[in-house]
Amino acid sequence: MIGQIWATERTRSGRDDEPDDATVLKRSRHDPEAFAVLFQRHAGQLLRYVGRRIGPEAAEDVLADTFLEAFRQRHRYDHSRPDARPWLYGIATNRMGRYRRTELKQLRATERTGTDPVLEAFTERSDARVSAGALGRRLAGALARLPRGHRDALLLVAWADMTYEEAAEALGVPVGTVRSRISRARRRLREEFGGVDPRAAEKGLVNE
Amino acid sequence: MNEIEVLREMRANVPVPGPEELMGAQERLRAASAAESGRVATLAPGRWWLPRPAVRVAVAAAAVGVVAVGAVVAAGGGVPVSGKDGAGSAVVAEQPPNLQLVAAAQATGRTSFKLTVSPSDQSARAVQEGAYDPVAKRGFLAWTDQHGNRIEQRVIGSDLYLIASVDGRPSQARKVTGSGRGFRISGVPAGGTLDDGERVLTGVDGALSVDPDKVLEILAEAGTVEKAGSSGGVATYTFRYVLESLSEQTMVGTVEVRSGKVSKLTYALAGHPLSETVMVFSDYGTPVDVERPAV
Repeated sequence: MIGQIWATERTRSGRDDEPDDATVLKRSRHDPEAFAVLFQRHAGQLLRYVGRRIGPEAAEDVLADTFLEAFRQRHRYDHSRPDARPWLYGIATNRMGRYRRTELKQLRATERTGTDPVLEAFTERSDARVSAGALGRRLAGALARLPRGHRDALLLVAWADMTYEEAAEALGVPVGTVRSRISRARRRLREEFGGVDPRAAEKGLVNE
Repeated sequence: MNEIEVLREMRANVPVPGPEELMGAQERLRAASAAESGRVATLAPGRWWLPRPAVRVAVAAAAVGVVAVGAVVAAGGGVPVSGKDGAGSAVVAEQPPNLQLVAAAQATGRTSFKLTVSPSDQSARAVQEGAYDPVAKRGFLAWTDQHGNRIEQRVIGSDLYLIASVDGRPSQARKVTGSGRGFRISGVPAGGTLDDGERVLTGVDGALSVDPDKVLEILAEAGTVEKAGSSGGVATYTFRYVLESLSEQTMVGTVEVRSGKVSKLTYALAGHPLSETVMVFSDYGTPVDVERPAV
């Protein structure tokens, strides 16, 4: 199993020669161990997403909790949805709730110090990779000031590579709500940079 | 202007997780699915210091066992107490079994030892062998997985390494990332949901060395320990411990104590006989010579 995971990682279900997630989940009703396929497909990317948000230590707990919860709830899965990612990320989003303060604390620390504690935890050293730079600092601060629902929607799209429809499914809200939240979130981020292209701001092309 | 693009750059330096970072969650899931399919395999091979409840069970058991075993030492069997007749003649009363286990645990935690971990269901879990020095905080456990890959987890102080030779490739070492990961002999959520007692029993704060006061408190409040008998210099105890952190599941087992130290610990989750695991401690004082691998 270790070798398998080491060697393979899938980010999306639906390859022609493999059953989609819905089929795997249906099979796991009678064969619980079939659920492992879902883990192999999505665990890596889910851990990376959650890790980016709350750091590697807490992310591993959220990952485990997410898949255990999904396993327990697999009988309720809507099999008309072939891709289980939105379902899994929705569970993970809920599970991250208890780490909300951790996430905000890390974002504010990035804004204040210019060092990203999340990346620092991953790399275990301080170098250019964990330096947020002026742009990153302001962005982190802006993220921290977003309402929780807006931040969840925005980051599902930006960091989990979800479509608006998938993010809506994950959050259990209408897609129009996600559009609205992301629109407002982006506007807030833009305002942090004086309403201009953040790259221009970073290059000093805009007076602060 | 594209805020999404800028945000994605914040994600760029987050590495794709390695296998060891998925193992904790994978083992918890495996335990859950195996339990539901009636083929319980709760404890993962070689995961005794990695996070998560499955491991926590093993370690809690180990800690209890450790705690348990050393007891007899101090005991020699007993402590002097005043006779209730007030005549001043001291009588010797044997320490309660839980206190005997505390002493054994402490004694075991002060010396190095070899360790063999054998699951009852070896079709699902491999036998692991290694050694650990709780004072120097160095040790390893190694096993061969079902694909023939040799896996070793190595602890050097507060650092944890995974060394694996997978699919015939040369061994690769990887330092488990994350601040505070260090030497965690068991699984404790980063959120710190375990109480102090559980932290002691799971060895979080110092491998197999345990805080006597806390251990006493734990055993007095949460664990039930009985002495099953003594024979040939080996004292045997049975214990039950409710794992609050694992949905109130009960861990049951026996501990053998020889020369005041834990020599053998057998434990399982109540109702899951296939989860039974045997840990054998031997060669107390053995040198544990492990080096920090190149990563």
